Amino acid sequence: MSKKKSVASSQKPDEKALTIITTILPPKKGVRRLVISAAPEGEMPVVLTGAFSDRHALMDRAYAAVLRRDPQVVTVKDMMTGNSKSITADADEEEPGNREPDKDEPFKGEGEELPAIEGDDVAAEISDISLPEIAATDEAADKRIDDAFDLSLEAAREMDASLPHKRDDDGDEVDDG
Amino acid sequence: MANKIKYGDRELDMGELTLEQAKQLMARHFPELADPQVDKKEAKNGDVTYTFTKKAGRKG
Repeated sequence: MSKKKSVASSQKPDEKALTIITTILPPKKGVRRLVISAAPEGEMPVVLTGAFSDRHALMDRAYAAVLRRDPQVVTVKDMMTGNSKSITADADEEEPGNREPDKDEPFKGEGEELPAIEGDDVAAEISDISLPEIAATDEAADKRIDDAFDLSLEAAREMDASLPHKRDDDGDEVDDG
Repeated sequence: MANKIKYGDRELDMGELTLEQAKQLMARHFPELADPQVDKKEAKNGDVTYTFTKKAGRKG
């Protein structure tokens, strides 16, 4: 059974979830590119584009950039009343761009380091992966487990072969790492 | 020459995004822009600003 962590209970009321969206663009000349956009709800996103192989660094940069900048809450003008208002209810409580950072905020935007969050480095549990439940009590069961892994490996290879791969100028395949 | 997106009082540099990609991106972050009205404005220096607004719905 997998353990579920309660994220909502540890969230401060004034903290907003940060949405990071990764869009992988169709490959051009065998090179995959992606767009990463990141923003809390109701704010203009930070948009970064780059090579597929740099995806992890781009995501870190987008995350850090959002934390480092002043809030970019979008306010729109009401056509009926002529008043300006933010597009989210929460954001109505504060003027855009004027929010003072809390003293307890873990990341102050200094340096390139990402904030350290306790328990954030826990590896994924095996129960997150869908594997057939087979009791390893006898030889037949062991063989079934081996077969299941072989099938998974074969499926992974087929999937990998069907994906477009990045190639260098000589046409050799480049490992995205 | 730069392409920009404007929504409300905020602007965003489009970089190498196409207008279609920009529309998709904005719709994901701002669900009210799933079917936006986009007005194109070209400055004298060649800068293009696409102003996104929520389409007014019909009542009734």
